Amino acid sequence: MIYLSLKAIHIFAIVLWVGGMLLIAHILVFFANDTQREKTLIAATRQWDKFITTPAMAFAWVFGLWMTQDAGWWAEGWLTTKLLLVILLSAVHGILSGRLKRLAGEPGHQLPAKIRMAIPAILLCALMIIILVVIKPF
Amino acid sequence: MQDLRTLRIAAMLEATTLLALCFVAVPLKYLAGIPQLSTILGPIHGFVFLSFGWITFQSYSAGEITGKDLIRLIIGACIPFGGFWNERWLREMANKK
Repeated sequence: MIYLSLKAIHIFAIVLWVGGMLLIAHILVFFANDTQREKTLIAATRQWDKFITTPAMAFAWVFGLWMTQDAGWWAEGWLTTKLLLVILLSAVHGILSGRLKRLAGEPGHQLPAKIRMAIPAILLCALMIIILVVIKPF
Repeated sequence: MQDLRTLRIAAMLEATTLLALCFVAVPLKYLAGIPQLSTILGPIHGFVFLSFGWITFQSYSAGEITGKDLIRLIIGACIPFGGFWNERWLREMANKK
């Protein structure tokens, strides 16, 4: 149990670390020769979302569903809980992607204050999903 | 509004896979004892439903549909034939704009 808990926290930390590094590298590449920074930052983030994050989400769904079918996990309690968290995480991504799209179309668009809740929601969902998948507690 | 087309296609696909699952795959599994189709169609519908949900939330957040529209689309997607009704409604809404 301790090994599995350590493994879950380890995977969670690596996901955050690599995800953060990739985003910084992508934004730095875009900023290398640019003066219109805000507009470029939105364009860079949209491009990342369109070509990296959204396809990664679709791949995660496909391989997750495939693995579940193959392993016959549909009746497991941990999987049902995890699926609800995946739906929630996907909805948060849809909301963020939509805001980004709106921001690109309407420069200066005022974002609602509740958008700040996205970060703790993403972190909490990801951590709970990893714990459920690695430990399979029920 | 320009992307309601993506939402309409997603609604149509979701409705089609749900109908195939409810009226072909599930009866084949429980009435004829042939589970193969539901084994394939179940995860496919799961993927299409997740995609539809994601596109719906994105359209809502981008200001293309309202919160009320979002609820209507999600409820419609859970009912057989509801997705076709949603698609028609989205088409009418896009034509009015």
